[in-house]
Amino acid sequence: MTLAVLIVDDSPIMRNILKTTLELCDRRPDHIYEAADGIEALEYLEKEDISIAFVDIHMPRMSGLELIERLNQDPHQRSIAIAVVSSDGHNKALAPFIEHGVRATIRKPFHPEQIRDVYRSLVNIQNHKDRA
Amino acid sequence: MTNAALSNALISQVPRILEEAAYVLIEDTNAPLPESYLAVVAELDFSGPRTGVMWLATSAEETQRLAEEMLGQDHVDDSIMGEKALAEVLNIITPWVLDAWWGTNTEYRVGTPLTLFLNLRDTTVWSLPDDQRVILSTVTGATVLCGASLQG
Repeated sequence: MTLAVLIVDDSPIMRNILKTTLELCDRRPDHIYEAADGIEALEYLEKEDISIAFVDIHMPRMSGLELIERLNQDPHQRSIAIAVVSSDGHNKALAPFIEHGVRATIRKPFHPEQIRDVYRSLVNIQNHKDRA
Repeated sequence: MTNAALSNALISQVPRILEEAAYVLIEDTNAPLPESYLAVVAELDFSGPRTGVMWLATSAEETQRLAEEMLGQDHVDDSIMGEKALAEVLNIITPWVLDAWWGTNTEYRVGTPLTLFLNLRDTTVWSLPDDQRVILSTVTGATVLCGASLQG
């Protein structure tokens, strides 16, 4: 299985940290794409076969929640395993993401191992789907 | 009216986030106001039970060090990365401070961080009351000011 990961965050610093962290995983992604907001993310999702996405909540133009709502409406993209990475911790901000099937929420600041643990579990989810 | 809850939130969260997000080790959480210098200042609007702006200021050299710590030296090929690093650190700090101040079940909104260069004495965080800001000194001798200006 080819593993393509999309990182969606308006902070180039955070995208870089996530990318470097994923590149150091045992099963490193075959491709890592970066988008600065939901609109850019949709452009990658149309062109590339993305299996895992790390998505920020607060972004200009299209927020993380709007992006995930759009993905849920598309039968081809509903199977993407998504983790939300955000500074937000309050329950009301995170609840809609859980309702939309997000697999994990990670609060910044995070330890790189948290990202790797979530990534491994998302890879496992996608492997199970492929076998099914 | 004092802002003891805000002050406690700043003291409990800001040094911890700086250490965890950017590996900045704090030596003193009650440092004196430093002499003015050309500072990089990040600001971020918030609204909830109170409306205001969160501020984070330090020297350009320290923001460059932040970027190097967050990204690794090999990835910092651009001086603007220091400003972006400071903005991202404030982006992380703000929700933690608001949660500690108001509780995790309180709804609030935060904006998008902006950065600018100013003499420290001309910044809002310089003139904030002591119960609305923290002045931190790092083990490397830099100072970091973080605080919230409030409307109403």
